[in-house]
Amino acid sequence: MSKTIPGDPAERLTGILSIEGDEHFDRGAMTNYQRTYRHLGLDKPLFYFSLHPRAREANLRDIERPAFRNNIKNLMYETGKPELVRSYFEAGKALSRAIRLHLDECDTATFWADFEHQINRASSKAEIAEITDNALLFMPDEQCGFRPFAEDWWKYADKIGSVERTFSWWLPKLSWHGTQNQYHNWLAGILSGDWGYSLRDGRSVGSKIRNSIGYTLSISFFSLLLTFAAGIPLGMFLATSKRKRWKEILRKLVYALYAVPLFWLATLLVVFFTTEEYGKWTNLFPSPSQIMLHTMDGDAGFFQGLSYLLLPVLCLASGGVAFVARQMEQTALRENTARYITMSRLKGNSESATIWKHLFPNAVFPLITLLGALIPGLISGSVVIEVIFNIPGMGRLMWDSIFGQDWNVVFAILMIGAILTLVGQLIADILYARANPKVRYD
Amino acid sequence: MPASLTLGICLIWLFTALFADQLANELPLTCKIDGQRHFPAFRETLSKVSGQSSPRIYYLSKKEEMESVIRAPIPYSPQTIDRANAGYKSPLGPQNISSLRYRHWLGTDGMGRDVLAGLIHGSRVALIIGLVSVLAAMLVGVLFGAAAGYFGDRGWRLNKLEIAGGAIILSVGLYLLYLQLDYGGSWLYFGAWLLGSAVLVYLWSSTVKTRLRAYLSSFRISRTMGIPLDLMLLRLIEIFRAVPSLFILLALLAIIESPGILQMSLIISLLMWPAFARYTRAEFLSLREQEFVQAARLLRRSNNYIIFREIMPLAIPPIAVAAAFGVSSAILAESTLSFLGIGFSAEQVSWGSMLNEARLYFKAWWLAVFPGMAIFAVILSMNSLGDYISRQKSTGIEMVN
Repeated sequence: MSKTIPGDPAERLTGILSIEGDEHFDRGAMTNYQRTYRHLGLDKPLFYFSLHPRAREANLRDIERPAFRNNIKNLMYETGKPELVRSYFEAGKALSRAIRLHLDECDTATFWADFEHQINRASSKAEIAEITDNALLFMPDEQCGFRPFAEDWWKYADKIGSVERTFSWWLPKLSWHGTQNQYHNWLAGILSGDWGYSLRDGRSVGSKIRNSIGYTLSISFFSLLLTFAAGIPLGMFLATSKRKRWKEILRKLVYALYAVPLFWLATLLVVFFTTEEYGKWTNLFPSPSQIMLHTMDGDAGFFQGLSYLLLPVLCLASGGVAFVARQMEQTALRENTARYITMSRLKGNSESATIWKHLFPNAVFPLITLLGALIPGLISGSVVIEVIFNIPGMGRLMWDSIFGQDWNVVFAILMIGAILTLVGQLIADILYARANPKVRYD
Repeated sequence: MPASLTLGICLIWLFTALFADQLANELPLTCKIDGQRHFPAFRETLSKVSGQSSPRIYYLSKKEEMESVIRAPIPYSPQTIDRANAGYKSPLGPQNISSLRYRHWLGTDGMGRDVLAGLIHGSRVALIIGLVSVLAAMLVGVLFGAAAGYFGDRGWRLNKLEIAGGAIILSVGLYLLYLQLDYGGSWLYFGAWLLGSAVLVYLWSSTVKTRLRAYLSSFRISRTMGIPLDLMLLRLIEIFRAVPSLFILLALLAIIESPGILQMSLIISLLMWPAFARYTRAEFLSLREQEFVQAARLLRRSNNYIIFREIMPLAIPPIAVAAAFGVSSAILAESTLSFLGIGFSAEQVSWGSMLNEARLYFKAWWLAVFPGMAIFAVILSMNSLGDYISRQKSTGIEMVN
């Protein structure tokens, strides 16, 4: 995914708008770009091996400028002789460096400057032939410092002009790159805690995520607590209570809560209950701007911090509460028809003893498996909640990074989201196995 | 939720989605220009259906020459900017309008766009998103789930020769595709490759196979091997379950620059097909052991016949339940994305993008309440439709038993 995204990370990091956009680009910016390009390891091949046509080289990424890269690739496909094209390119590079170095010593500087410009842009046999033909006519006889380089280049240009592509140019060839490849570097970086750099401010991705993950984990943790703490009694009430009217009302409420979009609920609560716009009493909760100010200061005390988290946690937990309550109701109703419950009633146990001593433990432990289903929802929900309430957590960071096209951060957060989900599912499985002796993992 | 309410919401939704251009449009339903009768609002729908350029600009330039005009019930399009009523005009407060006919019944947003017109046209976006993404997800999920549930890990047996042949054909096709892309082809070649490979695989398995098998039977190559379809499906579903869905959506949409409704639905369906596959697989897993399937096998019915004619009709109710919930989750996904400001371009009005504006200006409660209500109502009715079908289904099964 990170290789299909639009834009060039080295361009972003050096602040160059487009390395190919400007004809007369700044040479300082160019060296800067090349250094960044190599520093990011973009010159290395993508994977441990590559399968490619015989006509082209396995890795052309070590040519930093995209336009040069494309020219060379075209030439390789056209001639089917990658080694020759590579030597031609090296000769051209040397020549253009020499021309730039010795240009002032020459009387025919305009011709050579133009010549350098042309050889850097030639992308096909026909174009090279045109340059050499023109040069035959107009090349001055003057012996400048770069004359040997020009002759060297000329030799390869001639060879390219005369070479014919053989039939086997498209046959596949396997090249082995070893561990010097981008995937290996990325993986090694991930495993050793080096997640790369943010493309926006050059800070390390690891530190950006470390600063934000605490908020996400704490609101997710508290809303998970609230989900079970509120959902389980609610479900038990719906399953076992004798108060028909209350049950009906609550059941409808749970049903509605299950369908209400998280971002709508949060927006409504923010609109109506964080300002004094709709009456004195409606200013119940701290507003998102207050939350942002205080989390940025970092001087909010523990209880103050809790009060800021109250509304976000309430919102994030709402869907989960409804979900858990419905599941709890269903399992309790199913257990209610079991024979051990009838037995307990026949023995003369009180209704509350039957329910809380016999039914409840058996009905509640399957809910452990819901943990695995709830965690991805919580992490997804944290994006919405953090954006609405201005909490600088991981979801908010992801949202900001998407708008800032900061792909390193986006993909790192994607990875962490997956890891968190897997860990949650693992914990759910282990807890379930401990709670239910019938389940055994081989 | 009562069935009548569910049905009512669905019908209203369908009606507004189908006739959005006639219900809310700044172009008149009908008018006379130079003595000739025109039907601008209807022509706009027609141009959208046939993919022609919109007549909007032409009619807006003829605004002064229109006679005997009959306007739409809401004389605003969702994009219409009413400058006189810009800056969040409340539906309850005074509005700067010439007559009650031009009142913004549900208020305006910051630019002066009518909220009710946005709601009506947003219902069309929601319908397309819901239907297209569910249909696409259903196509993939049901087919894969049915195959995995029916064949299991060993049921679909292939000759080793077929496997080898298919693998070679596919990898050659893949290599040629890479060559084409690297050499400077376009994505059209991908379609050609897919089609070509499929045809080759089919030809290989149907004709070449039988001849070669007879020839090679003495070499013991024709032994069969089970394809672990079920295992493959379960692992794939696990991969999709591991990453929080909103994260995947955000990352995917960030890569595609300003996606249209169709692209958006396909991306959402990418996340929904595992649900369909799971339901279908579970249903097929339990049904394939039933006596009627064994009877069909004894009658030497083909696998295709048993899957599509014998088992599929019984698996439709749970798939329908999944589809109903799928519509609501697709709409929820789209509106969440639009709410976050990622996804559609700014001109595309959807319920979520209207709610996004409420976030910018807390005092405009009407921007938060009404679009959210629409989303809520549609999701609620789709959920209760799903519950209704699943209740029907359980009674139906009892009757069969």
